[in-house]
Amino acid sequence: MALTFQLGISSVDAITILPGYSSKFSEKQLRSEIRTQNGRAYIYKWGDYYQAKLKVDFISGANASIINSWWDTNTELLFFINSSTATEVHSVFIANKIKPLDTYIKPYDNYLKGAITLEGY
Amino acid sequence: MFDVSSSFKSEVQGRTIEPVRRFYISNSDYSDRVQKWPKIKRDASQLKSISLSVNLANVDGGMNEFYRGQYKLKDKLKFTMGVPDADLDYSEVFSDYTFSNMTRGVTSEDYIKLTEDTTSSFHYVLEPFNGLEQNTDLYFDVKLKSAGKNIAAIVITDNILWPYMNVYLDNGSYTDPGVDEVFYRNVTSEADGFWRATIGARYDDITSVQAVILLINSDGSQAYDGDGTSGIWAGDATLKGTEAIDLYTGEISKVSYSKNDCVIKTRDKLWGFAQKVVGESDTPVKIPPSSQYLISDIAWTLCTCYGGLDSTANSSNPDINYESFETWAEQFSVDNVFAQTNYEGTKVISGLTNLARMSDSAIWIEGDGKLHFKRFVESSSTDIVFTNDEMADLEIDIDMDRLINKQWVYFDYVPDDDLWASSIVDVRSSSVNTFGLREDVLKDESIWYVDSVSALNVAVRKSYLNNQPNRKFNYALGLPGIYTQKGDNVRLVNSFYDLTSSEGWIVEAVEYDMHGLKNRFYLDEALPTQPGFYLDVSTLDGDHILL
Repeated sequence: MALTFQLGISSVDAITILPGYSSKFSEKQLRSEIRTQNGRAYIYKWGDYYQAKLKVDFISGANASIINSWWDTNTELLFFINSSTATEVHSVFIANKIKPLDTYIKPYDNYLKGAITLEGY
Repeated sequence: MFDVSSSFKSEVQGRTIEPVRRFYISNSDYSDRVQKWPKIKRDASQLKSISLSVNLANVDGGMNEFYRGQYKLKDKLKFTMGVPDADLDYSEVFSDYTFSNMTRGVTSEDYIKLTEDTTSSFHYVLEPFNGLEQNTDLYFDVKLKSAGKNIAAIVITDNILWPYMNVYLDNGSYTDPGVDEVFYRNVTSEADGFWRATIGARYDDITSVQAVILLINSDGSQAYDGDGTSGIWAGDATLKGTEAIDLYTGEISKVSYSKNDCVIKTRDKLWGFAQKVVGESDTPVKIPPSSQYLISDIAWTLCTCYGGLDSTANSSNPDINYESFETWAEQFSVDNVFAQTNYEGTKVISGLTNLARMSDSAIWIEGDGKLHFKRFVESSSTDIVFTNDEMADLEIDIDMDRLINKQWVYFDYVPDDDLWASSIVDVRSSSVNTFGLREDVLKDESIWYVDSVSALNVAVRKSYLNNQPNRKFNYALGLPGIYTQKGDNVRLVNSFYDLTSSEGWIVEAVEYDMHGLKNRFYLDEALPTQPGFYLDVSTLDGDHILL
């Protein structure tokens, strides 16, 4: 069962990306824990958010430019994970500290690679 | 104890719940922007304004409105903590004190009969409790009967005044019923002439939790005609939203912008007391100008005439919790505790601090932003018990420095001559023999007692409560007990310290940790847990000497 990944403002203009196998897809939880004198735990969940760390390469220069502009403008995006039976959608933004796609792949001058960190908002 | 539902108390006992913390400025919710939630400590032994600092995310510039429109700096703000989706008992939903014709009688396990229509006032007040959060939906199940007629509609509105009550019609349309939105109605026929509905209201205004229910017949008339048959039977209710308690209410004192953060500093009503002065050295202010006042009347004058707080003498006072003031004042009235004052440029906060010290009282701003008064006596509320199952830690301090076994109180001061005419002393002989002499003097040129009975009242109280090395307890909890307030009675169970819930102590201070939820409560053995303290020298073992 092959998965495909798309990132875009909507499904119409989403860019297909091919993350490498070292990519991570996780859910982070915000919570407080109190451990009592008898060892009981009180666990208070405040919320959670989605996080994906994608290793990508061979992104065309045009698509890399769009993705970098989304990062630059802090655009609210949708991240689609499609399988043959279902589509998972996450509302995300690009959370990289530095420009996500900034390295050309030798010997090409129109393909870039990098790491994209997506986080829910 | 906070005014919360039984469901709230039950929910906060849960070990894996999802509490809801909120930060409002002028009823707008800024919770999503809070980066670190504050700790809020309220201590009965200190009269001071509580200031908080909260960092709000401002990456998108959404908080810039505060420097663009400085008028917003006057906005009120509020921190709340709550739990979502409570299941309520019908007794917590319907108020029966507004309309005299309302009677109660349980007709089944599931429904309570609120009334029969024997008068021409056939409507019901829905007033659950304080703390329904904005946009909370309240559903409840009712069975209805209306003189054999078909029940067609139910109106819910917050507008109690009958001429202005809008009607919700059978065709599903309705005119604006007021602040609260009518959002759900579905009436079905049942046996024995009953009609059943699930109805609800959405609370749009977080300051309003009151609604009125009205039945409408299918012919459009109101379903009351004094037939003695019509009535409403209410079942249990469910909240879809959050029931919350106000942990802090105040106003903005400062806004700073830095590194995409907006930092808001807050203050409460006591801050204003530090800016206002009573009297001058050339023209001192005496409260009252001549003769004497009860201690509580002096406090009222200080707060309203000089502190600028509202002087409405009932529960609608927006600045002072009038119920707490009345209870506090009653003690001085019963004991005939009179005093006189002389303020020569004294700040209101200092005047009130001295008054609290002289009368052994606590004065503070509660989470609702109102000024509360208390002279600690055993709480009338049910004791709360905490065990090692709830406590994350427990600390005990015994402080010999607080021991007093000989209390002096100077009274009958003559400010013009700077002369103290009299003093009284109460001595606890057994304590002196055991621990040695430990004296304390109450003597204040800004407020003093006018007679020996009044002075003895506080002297006996101080020496009676402090003639042993009193213990202080503090413990940390998660959400269990979050509804505990200062003045509540708490019992602790801890096998290591041999605490068996046989004794209770009064909460002197609370610290709400909105970030980590490790809330801390402080109990003081020096605060009385006996019933109300009234001067009866025949039952005390002290030696009182009028000098």
